[in-house]
Amino acid sequence: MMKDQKKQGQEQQPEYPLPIQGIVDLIGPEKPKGQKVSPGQPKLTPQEYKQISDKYLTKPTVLKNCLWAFGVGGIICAIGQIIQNTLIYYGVNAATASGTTTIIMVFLGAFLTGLGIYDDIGKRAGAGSIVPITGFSNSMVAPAMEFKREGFVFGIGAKLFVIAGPVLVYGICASVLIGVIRYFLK
Amino acid sequence: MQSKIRGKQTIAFESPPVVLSSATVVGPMEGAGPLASKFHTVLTDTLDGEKSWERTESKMLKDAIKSTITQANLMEADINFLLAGDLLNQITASNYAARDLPISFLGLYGACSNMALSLFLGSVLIDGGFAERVVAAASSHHDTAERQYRFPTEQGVQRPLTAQWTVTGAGATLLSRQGTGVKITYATPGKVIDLGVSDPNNMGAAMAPAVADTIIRHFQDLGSTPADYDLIISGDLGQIGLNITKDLVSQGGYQLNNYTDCGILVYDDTQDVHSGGSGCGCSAVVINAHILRELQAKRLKKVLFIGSGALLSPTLTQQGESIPSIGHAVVLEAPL
Repeated sequence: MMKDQKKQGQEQQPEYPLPIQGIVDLIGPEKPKGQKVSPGQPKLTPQEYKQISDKYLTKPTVLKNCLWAFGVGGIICAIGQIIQNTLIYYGVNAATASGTTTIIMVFLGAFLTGLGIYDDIGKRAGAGSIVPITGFSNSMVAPAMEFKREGFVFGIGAKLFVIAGPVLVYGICASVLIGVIRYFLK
Repeated sequence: MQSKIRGKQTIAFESPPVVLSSATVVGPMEGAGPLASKFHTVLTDTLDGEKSWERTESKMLKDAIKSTITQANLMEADINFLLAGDLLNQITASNYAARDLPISFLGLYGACSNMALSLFLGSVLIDGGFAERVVAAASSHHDTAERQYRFPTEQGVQRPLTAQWTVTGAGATLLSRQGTGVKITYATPGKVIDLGVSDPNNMGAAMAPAVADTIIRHFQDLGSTPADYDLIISGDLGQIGLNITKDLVSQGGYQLNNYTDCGILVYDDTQDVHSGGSGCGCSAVVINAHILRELQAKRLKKVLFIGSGALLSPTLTQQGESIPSIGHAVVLEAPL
């Protein structure tokens, strides 16, 4: 009887009596064919469950996060600008000042990571502290610190780019692509 | 011999194993939480003099196991079996802790449900007459879990509000066939259930259906109701998972008014952990430090504890798989 019902793909009754006709009893006969549900989980589909669980999700604090990212990102950039202007003020030429500023900012990011401060900034600032070059520095130093216990080759050597790697791969790919487009547009 | 199975999947222990002692070792953050005064040992830093967090976790687990044995005035040789599990690949925290202990060792993996799983299996061994005394234990460490499942610890990432904080903690319980103390009277091992949640930052939602299923099945198997328990407590669902479980169980016909979660008890709101605590250590320390004491003091008479486990791995998550989960229940009763 059960098999016939399954074939017809109709609503099925479990083999044992359910005291309550709730949705939670996840044990029972299999779903009719054609529905994408793992075996043994019939009464509540993932879609139905998502509707229930979404009710209880904590709403992300988007506005607050944006303000933090804007503020912290802005401050980091302002610091970079101050360094650059100071260098130019003291007679460094513009190109050298730009490179030197980058080096100093990378150092600052690494230094704050080493002191265990950068992750506390990142917790609040999100993209505000990931996007600037200090964030890139953080994404290199954090794995280096983390994986040094696994040795210099398979630890630091192999894991150094675990976060920054994708950024480099797709960053370089994108720049090559744009370079090619620019060449033909010229 | 009369069968010990009740209903479909609940076991009634004929001669319920007795909790002789329990011990916990926690990290500094847990030691600053609301249960601070209950923990047996609080570490001052997360490394505790070891050269890696993995070693620290093993040491914490070993210390907790040794402490339960000493508290009960027993020797390691008096323990027949050690059942332990953790979250690390190849359950190394447990393996390395067991390396230094002369006790037959059974390594378990039920993700964060390890404490409930080890209590359940330990009780089965004792009630079945296969052991006189066993130690059930579980551990997790925030930093070992972070580097295995998520990001390097110093990486400046923003955690979503649904995320939970892995507890740095180890807990151990000494179960015995004879003696007086808190008893383990029933157990309902759960099924693996996966309702398609694939976000590893929302494990409460992933685990809630498995826990709800075990709770309902437990009530159905025994013909009991939530009112038969002073407290129903899940392992590490966090606030979101707890709310979903309440909803699912109420749709199943049972109102959970006396229900909480170890992940909610272990930290307070000021500790910025978002949805709550998680990890094997979460339920291991809350049950061993807090719930068992409340039972021993008879402030609680009967507790249904459901260990919740998200059986994921970073590899499978990255391949886009959803998170299968499990919930194992044990009933803890105060001594008469």
